[in-house]
Amino acid sequence: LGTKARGARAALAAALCGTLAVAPADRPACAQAVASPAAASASYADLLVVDRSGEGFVARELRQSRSYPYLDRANRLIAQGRREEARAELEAYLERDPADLKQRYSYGVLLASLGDASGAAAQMTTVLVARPGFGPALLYRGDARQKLGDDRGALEDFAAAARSDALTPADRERALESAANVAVALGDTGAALAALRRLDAIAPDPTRGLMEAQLLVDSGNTDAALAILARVAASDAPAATRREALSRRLVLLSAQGRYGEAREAGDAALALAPDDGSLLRELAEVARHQGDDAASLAYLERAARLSPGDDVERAEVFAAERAGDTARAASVLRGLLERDPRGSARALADATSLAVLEAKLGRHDAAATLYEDAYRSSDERDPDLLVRAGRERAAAGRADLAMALFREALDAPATPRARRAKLAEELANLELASGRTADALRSLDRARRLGLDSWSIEQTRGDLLFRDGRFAAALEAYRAAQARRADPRSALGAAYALSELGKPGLAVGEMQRALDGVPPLAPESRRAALVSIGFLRAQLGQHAEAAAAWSEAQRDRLDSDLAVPLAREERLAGDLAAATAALAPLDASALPPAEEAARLDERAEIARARAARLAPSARGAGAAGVAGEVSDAERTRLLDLAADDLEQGLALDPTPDREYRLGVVYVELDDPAAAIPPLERSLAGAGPFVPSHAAALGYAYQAVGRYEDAGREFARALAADRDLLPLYEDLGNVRVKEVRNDDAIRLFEQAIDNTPLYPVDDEAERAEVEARRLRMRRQVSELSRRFSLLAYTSICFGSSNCEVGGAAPLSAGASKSQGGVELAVRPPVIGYRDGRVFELISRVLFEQEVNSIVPRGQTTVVTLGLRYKPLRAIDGYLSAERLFGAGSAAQDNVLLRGTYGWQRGYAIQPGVPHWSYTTAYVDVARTVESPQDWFFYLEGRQGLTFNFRDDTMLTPHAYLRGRFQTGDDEDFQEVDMGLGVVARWLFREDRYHDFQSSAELLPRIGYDLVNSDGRDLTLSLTAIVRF
Amino acid sequence: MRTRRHATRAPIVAALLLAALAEGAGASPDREACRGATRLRGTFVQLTTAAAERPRAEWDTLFAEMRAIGVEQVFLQWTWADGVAFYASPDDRDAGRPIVGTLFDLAAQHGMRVWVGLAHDAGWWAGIDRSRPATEVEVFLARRRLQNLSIAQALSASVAAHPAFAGWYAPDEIDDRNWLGRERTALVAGYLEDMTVGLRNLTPGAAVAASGFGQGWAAPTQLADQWSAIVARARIDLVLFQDGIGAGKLTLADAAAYLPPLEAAVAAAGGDLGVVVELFSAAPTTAEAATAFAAEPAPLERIAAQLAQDQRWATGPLVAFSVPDYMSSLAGARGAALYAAYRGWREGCARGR
Repeated sequence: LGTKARGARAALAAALCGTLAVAPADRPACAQAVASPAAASASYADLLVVDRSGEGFVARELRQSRSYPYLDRANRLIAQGRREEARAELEAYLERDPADLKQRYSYGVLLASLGDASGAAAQMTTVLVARPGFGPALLYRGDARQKLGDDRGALEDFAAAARSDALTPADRERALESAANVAVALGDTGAALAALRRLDAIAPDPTRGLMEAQLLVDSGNTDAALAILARVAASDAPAATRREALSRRLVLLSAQGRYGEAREAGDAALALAPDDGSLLRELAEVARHQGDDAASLAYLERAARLSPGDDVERAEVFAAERAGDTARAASVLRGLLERDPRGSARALADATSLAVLEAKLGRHDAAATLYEDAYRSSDERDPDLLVRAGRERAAAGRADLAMALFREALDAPATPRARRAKLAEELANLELASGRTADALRSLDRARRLGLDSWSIEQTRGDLLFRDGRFAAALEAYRAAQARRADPRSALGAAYALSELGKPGLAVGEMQRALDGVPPLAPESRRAALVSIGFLRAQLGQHAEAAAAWSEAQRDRLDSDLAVPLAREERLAGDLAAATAALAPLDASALPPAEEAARLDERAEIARARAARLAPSARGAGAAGVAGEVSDAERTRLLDLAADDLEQGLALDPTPDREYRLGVVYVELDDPAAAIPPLERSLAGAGPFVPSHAAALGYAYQAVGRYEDAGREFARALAADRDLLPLYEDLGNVRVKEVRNDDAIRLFEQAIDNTPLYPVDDEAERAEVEARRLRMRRQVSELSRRFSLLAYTSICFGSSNCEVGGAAPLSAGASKSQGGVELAVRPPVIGYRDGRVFELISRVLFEQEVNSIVPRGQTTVVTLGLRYKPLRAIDGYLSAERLFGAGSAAQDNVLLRGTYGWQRGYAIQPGVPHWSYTTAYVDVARTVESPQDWFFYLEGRQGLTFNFRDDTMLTPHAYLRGRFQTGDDEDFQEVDMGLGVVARWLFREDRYHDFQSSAELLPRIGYDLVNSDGRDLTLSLTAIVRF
Repeated sequence: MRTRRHATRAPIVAALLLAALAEGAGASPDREACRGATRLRGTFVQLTTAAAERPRAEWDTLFAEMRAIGVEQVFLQWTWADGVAFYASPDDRDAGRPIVGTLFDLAAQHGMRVWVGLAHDAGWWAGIDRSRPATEVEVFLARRRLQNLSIAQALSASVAAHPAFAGWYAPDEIDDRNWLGRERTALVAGYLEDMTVGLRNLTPGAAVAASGFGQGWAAPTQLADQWSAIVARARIDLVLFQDGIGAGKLTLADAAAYLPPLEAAVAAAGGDLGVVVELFSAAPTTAEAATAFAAEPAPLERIAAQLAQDQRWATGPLVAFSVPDYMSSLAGARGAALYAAYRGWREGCARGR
């Protein structure tokens, strides 16, 4: 309303002059006109009677004679219109009679008429000093002051004059009007309103209502103004005044949103001035606000018809457009442009308007061309036209042209930096829509360089970089987006980028943030995120969490692709029932072979896991008996099912891994023969060699006795992975079986070296490792033995039975008092073959004197022969020796012999303080040549061995033995029993060999239970050295 | 000449960095740009045959340079590598390049302390690979334990009583993938436990340090749990976590996710957390040199950012990897320039305190 208010103030000033019944003019002219009537001034002058009652006759005559001629001339000159001359006469008169107020007042009026405001004001002031409150003088001085620019003084004089009783009603009205006029000029609304209200009281005038209304509007009292305007409109004022009042009501009511009343006022005004274009446009606007577009258009059309020409057509365009008739609007504009195709600013505006309309009509290419032409024809000053053209090209599906236009706009010097940044972003979106991701990325980067900083830019960059496979850069962009807004989509992008970067641990956190974020992800995004987080958690070994994520992902819709992974995670989380349930919805017949094979794999794994829970180690000691058998049967059933599933899977999709797992199931079923084929196929298949798989095959071979094959697999497994610790010993054992003793020794030595590598968590494990090491050292000792030397002597004290006949000591223990040396040599290759021993032996045997170790030389026998241990696990030997009688009492012969020994607790048990000791020994021999004799020797011992320092043993024991001899020589039978103590010291051991030698002392005391030569008590001492 | 030119520019670079960082942070240089500037207290030293043959005077210069930038602790990454013993080895199979004694003497002379790394095994990553059965990994670790302890035994007589001896450093890097999960974590914790027990039997009371890194595989809480288990079981005194920035295993943002829970876990388990500040930028691997590691000195601005972040969570020292290789006069012109720039920046910050 500012402009309208300023216009109203001008109208107000004009109205004020109007009330003074003069032509509208500027204020001084208006004021001058007011001061003109001489008649009124003459009558007012008469009111100024000079009191001369004290003046004498002479004085009066003298005064009159001195002054009247001047006054007379002045009056005559005034009557003749010669006011300047009259002025001088009056001035001369007043010099002579200064007290004549009447003439002084008249002189002031004359000065005012001559335009001497200053003089007039001075004269009226003199009058007012003498006659304070004299209304006519105040009125004239007010006018003079107004002319002199003293509005405030003038306002005071006009107000005072209006209060004077001396004024006629007409002059009082004039004084009030002047006061109102000056107050308006001073902006003193209150004073102006006060003056107008007094005027209204003494001389009502609807025209002044317009003034008052405007003043009320200016003072903020619109409602009062509207009431006055309504009163004016309803009055009998001239039509122009009423129309003006109605127009102002229209404006004020419209501004208040009271469109109905405004429209009513406007229509009433229009009735008074049907050709008022501005009123019609105001009404059109009001109608538009009312939603009455038809009426609005009608008003506009009427307005347009009032001024024919281009503007009329433009108004028609406007109206048509307002009425929704875009085609008509466009048509009119096209006509306009044809007449003025280029150049003028108006044509440029018409072109852009037409472009808008063409776009509305779906003629985007035409619109784009218009914008482009407008840009080119305006000296390329407004790059925004290029942008609009670009948008239209894009809408027309001409993406390439659109992007070119955007780029041109971007490069235009006139485009401000901030605008360029936005344009770059818009261009990026366009490029993105066109699949030009690289270009889009460049544009976004440019937008960033130009200072555009927003979540959407960073997020889109992230998406583009991700799509481009630049995951690290994408992650950076997503994180930048996150820094700008906590949007779950950014977290999701970061999670996917991290996942691609091989950082599942970080990805899972972002993914969870995306899932927990607000606003929630779109359902499909959320589902994809759940699927992804499931895989991430599976990677991280968080099986239960992975299963939970996938379960949630499938809450609304089953995803067959997830069934097998879900089952796997449920199984790994230990919930086998849930794992089985996860597989249940799958329709096996509908699955492609590879997927069906995967389903069967998982089902097999579930069965194996169930079987594992029934494994003997898991059942515990209390599950023996029937329950144990049931469990075993169930376990076998489950493993059979697993094998069956895997077989089916292999038929569908044979893979090395599946073959391996089938082999393992057969191993678990204790069916190594069945395990071998799949294990062989697994190793023969494509893919990297897996040493542990070769080892599994090796064990299967070993289990079925295919040692050579086992050895081959063990060897290549070990060659590929030296940390397969058990294989050293196991391969060593295979090599033993293969009679590759040197290889076996080397492997056992390596295994011995490896014993510190065995995990030892407690004493039992430590003992087990030590036992293993001891076992292997004994193996090495046995394998590496090339010869053995044994020397012994047995002293029999005091008994008559210490000497038995005259025969040489042919077999061990055949005499109670004897000694000898035995050398056994194992030839290469055949000497030791997997527990079977072949030795060349030679012995020197002799009897000793009673109570002495002195040999009886005549009894000395030297033997040379062969000894063979035919059975791997049984300590039994067969031997044949040629006896050479070296002593005079000795004889040549051939001795065939068989021995068998069994012992428990004979060997040292490191770290064990004592243990039970049991041995049995049988020795049967026969001389083949004459004299042909049979020799039998049996001995059993039961005792307790005490360990000292792990290399010395003391074994008190009881023994029972029998000796029998029969044949060509004298028969002999003896059975004795007694007590003895074996003191044995072990020596010659090293890192790889257990004790290889020992020295033994055996004191005994025994009594014959049977003796063909007579029973007796015998005390003996035997010393044995084995080397 | 080239080195000198770089060195001349270095203070300017440092000054620019101070200004840039301060502007970027919107705070005074003293507070923001200098955060962590004086926290770098240690460095790794990688011994090689060439390094061992370096004249003592060069080593002396290096130690003086290190001291000048606040280095107080030297971590010998290993003392045995690929059949070369950098000490007087009693094992005839070892090629001898004894340098450890010299380094101890120089450290003592410059007021530093030395952590002694043990045996480097190039087969570490293959040996602990997660695809291997746990039983085999356990055997591999047992081999490592024996090897490390045998070297510690050979060294203990000469270093344990030396005034510069700070402790033992287990040279095997514990990553966040191969040991994930209770079973695997127990393996590595058991390995380190056995080793620390063995080391403390050799040198009672000696501190033991171990190092590790994250590469985004484990979740931050998982890595924290892993180290909590290791420190608690093996009684590791100092965990050195590699920030991974130089090697490109982690970004600053990634590392920021790992460090807080790790610090809490290590502290709760009774250890200190040091952070290894990687001073290098790894060159991108190419098809031709996919396995070769190539790197160059990192820009000071990045190092400053690392220090600012790392120091927030380190209860132990910030340890460079490594001053000799990337930030010293021995490290070529760029290394020398970085040294000068870093020193200028650090001293500027120290003065501004």
